[in-house]
Amino acid sequence: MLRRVLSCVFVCFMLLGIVFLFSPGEASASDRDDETLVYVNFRDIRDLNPHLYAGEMYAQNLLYESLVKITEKGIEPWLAEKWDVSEDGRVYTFHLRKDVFFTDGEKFDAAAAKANFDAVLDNIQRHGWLEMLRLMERVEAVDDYTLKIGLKEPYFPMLVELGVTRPMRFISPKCMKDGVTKDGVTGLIGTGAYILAENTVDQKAVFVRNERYWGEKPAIKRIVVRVIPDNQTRVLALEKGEIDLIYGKNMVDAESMERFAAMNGFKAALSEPVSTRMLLLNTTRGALRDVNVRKALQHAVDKSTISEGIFHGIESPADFLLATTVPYCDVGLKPYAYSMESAADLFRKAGWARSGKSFLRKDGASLELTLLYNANSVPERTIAEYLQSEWAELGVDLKILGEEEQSYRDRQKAGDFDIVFNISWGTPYDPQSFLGGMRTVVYGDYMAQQGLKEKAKLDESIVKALVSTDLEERRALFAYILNLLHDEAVYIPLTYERNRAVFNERVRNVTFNPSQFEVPFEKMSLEK
Amino acid sequence: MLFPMLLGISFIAFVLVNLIPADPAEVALRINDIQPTEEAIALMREELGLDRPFFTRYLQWLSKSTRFDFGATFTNANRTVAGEIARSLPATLELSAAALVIVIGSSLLLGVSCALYRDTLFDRSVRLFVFLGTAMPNYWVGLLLMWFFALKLDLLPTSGGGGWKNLILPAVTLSLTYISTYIRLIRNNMIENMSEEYVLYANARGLKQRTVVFGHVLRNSLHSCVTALGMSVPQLIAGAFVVENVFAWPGIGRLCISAIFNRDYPVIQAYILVMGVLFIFCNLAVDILHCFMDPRLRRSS
Amino acid sequence: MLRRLLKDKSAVVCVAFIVVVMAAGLLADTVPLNNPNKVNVLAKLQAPSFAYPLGTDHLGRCTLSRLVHGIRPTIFLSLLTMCCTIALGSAIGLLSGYFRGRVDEVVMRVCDVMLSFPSQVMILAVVGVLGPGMMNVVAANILIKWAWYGRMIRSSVIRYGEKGYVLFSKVSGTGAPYIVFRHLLPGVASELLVLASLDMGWVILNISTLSFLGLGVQAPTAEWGAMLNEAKDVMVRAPLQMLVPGVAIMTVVAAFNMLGDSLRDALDPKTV
Repeated sequence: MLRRVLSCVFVCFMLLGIVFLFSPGEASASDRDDETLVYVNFRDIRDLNPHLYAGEMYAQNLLYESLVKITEKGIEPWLAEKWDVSEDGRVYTFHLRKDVFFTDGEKFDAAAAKANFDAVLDNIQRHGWLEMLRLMERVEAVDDYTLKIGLKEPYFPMLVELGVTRPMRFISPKCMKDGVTKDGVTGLIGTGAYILAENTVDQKAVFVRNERYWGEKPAIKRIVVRVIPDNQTRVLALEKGEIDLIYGKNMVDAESMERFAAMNGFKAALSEPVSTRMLLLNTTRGALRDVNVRKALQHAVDKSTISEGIFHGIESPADFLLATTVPYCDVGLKPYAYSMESAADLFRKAGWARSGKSFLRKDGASLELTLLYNANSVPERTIAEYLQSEWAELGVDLKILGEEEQSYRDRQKAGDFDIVFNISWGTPYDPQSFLGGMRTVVYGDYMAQQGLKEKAKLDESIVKALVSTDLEERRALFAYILNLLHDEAVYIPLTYERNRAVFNERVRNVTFNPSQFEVPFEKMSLEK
Repeated sequence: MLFPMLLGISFIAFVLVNLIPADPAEVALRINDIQPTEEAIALMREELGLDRPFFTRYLQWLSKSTRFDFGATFTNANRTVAGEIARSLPATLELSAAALVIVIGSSLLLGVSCALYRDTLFDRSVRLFVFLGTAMPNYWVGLLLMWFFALKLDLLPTSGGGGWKNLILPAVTLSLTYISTYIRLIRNNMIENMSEEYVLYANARGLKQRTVVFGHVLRNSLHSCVTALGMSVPQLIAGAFVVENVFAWPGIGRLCISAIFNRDYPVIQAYILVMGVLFIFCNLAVDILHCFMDPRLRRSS
Repeated sequence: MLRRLLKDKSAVVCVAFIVVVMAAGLLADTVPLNNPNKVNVLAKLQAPSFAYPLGTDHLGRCTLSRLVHGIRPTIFLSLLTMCCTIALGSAIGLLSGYFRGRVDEVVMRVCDVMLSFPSQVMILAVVGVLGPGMMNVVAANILIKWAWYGRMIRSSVIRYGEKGYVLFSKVSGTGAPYIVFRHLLPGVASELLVLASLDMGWVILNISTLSFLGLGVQAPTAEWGAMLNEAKDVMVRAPLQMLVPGVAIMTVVAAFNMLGDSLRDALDPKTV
């Protein structure tokens, strides 16, 4: 009998051993050395096809490059050395660099560039948010290193849209399937400074420096990206030295920023305000169909407390959809002041009444709204819980619902929400791409605005503003658009976000790109 | 008995997920970023075979499942459900196996010791620990252990999959609930058996105490334990999902929880089926082992 | 049995403790506590003070107040689950055990399938399909446990059914409902009570586990498992938030377990 028990134990050990053999490898601290930076992300890199939107942008930014680069100083040459624009603004001629190779050995020339443009245009319905592609009429390779792009109409944000992280970046034509990329790519070969060496799904990805890079090679030879979905765990990992850098405005909360800024051996960095964090109200749903209800909610948000209490002052309170410093957005709007009395008055005006401490009621139903937030985002959840408590005082029954990324996006696109968190897209997308995106289903804007009487006119005005060559006309159109959205109270601006990073002191020169979704690893270095 | 049970579980899994309100065709379109227009939805429904009657769909799904073809996940069109499960199941098995080893080792050790030194301070403290152990939520214990060992003492990593260092805390946490049960069981059984007549007889014959205890008493005490242990193995595997969540262990439980928050129904469906089948086979294995170990049953079965 | 129970000191302490806790839960609104849902982000994660005896959580809400208000979802929902489970399981078990024959066969097969199904998987399945929410969790728990009770009650019923006075009743032509309710049920009831109090702890742990994962109670309802979920995010800054709800769960579950043990001892003194 004893023998039998012992053999049972033995079998268990054997099982354990076998399972160990098949188990995932060690993702240990051996990753960290003098030439390796250990970064972290809340999820896997997923699909890094440069022409699609199903991958992590920081990773796409490492592998692929554009014709032009967007910097704080403006548009700079990148894969295109210089360019000319025709008189009527409809033809762009790019002169490409002659010394660029893809990492699989293919030459980057006008033919390769055209192949990429063709692949993106082939999948045009996916890129409805990018006006530039809709206006693109023809793409020609005039000679080996000259690319001519003809537009149907002049378009002033053309260069900016060419430079964004996706979709207009270049992959080796050898990686395309039948000349297109919409069904997937056979390899992740770009011209960028880094190459994806390996990826263990949901665990870690490794990028190594492109030793044959055409430009100035980055200082960091190797980047290991670990996947840690939980905020607390990320912070702990940084503290214990398991990772070097946490980067991104939703990846690190205000408390941790303060803690690490004060801690020995660590630093914190903050960018200029980049985008607006706001709530989006669905004008087609229930009580929100009434503009007075929406205005009432505008008055019921104490933005300075949110800014102080939740963000510790890092993000400043926002009164307008787009900050007045964004081009074309200084249009003299009047902010909705924080006033619970005004809110109560507006509810009364809309016909909602309450008895004592109960919820507001009208026609036998109570004022119930659902706020949808991203379960992976710590600030969103905190703000949601805060508003739930605050609005309960007014008599609004706010339910909050947290879902994971995919489902969250899904609901937004379907318009299946009452209130949802939203962001403007930040530099360089604001205001043109952000407003342009309201014309199709990108996030929740399109569906949420369907209840506006002037929605069709709004869409038309956005298009006109984008293609107009007359500065005055453009200004007037933007003013109309912003005024309409403000008066109809479709958005409740909360704060102006700033990108942030906390990192181990050994990482040098941590800066911020104009696009908050990119991480400028190529500018960083490690102290030995 | 086996086959109808398997069928039953597959049926339950299928029915359960078909109750959900979301339209799989619409979801499939949206994750591929295609505008869900009327025609597109109709086309997708046809492609997914959703317009066919219930039983046809059930049989189709069943036949595909036997070939491990569960389709693609709702969250990422590139990943197949089978792939996700194949990736995460070994991690859960690894965790459960480790926990099992700890359970067997500790409960044998402590249970026997308690029985031998009953009513001493040692016995009483172990019993107190056991009692509290069953009352503590295991995720709380996990958090406390994480806080103490990973944060305060900085001995172990806080979370994630990986080597043996990452395995310790989750395995210990998972085993805690079962250790309590088994220590109690072994101790009680041994005490009961020690007062049996044959022990008295063996002692009278002059056999060494050690032989008596380990040779006879332990043997008989362990019998019901092995049965209970066998039944706990599938419980251990299924119940690991909380521990996996706390320690971010990349197992199948964590996959399911994430799928619930992502409304990723194919994954949930496959999880139910896989776990159900695993359960049935585990129980079968235990029955066989039981027969093997107990000659009385062998003769009668 | 009651007399034997009262003699056991630990049982008395347990019962008293449980009664006090339940009373606190029921009277939570009348007792002068801070508003458990009042958010005050500027006062978050404070150490215990006079105003906030157990400190505040990550939104500045009073932890003590949330603890007391959390008694309702944690304990009363568990009670509700237990009652429904027992009612359903007993009804089926009684009928099955009394009538035997084909009905019994079918019911037992169904129970077998339900029991062989891993309970955790079933809970996740039901919650996954219905979506997170308190009632869904309760429904899931009932769905899993009824089979176990059904089985237990059925075997008890069969055992009692062999007893002399029951056979006599049957022979003398008493109606089935009378036999079931007057003869079988009381005998079965004491066993039920033991099982129930032992299981209560399990149900409390189960419900709090699901809330911990975010699948049960939804914000802003205070519930001990959900409080632990929120506390784990601020483990480094305020470890006290993690201790309080955990200790609460542990003591209540331990009390129920001890009560169950004492009841079982009182019922059958032979078992050690």
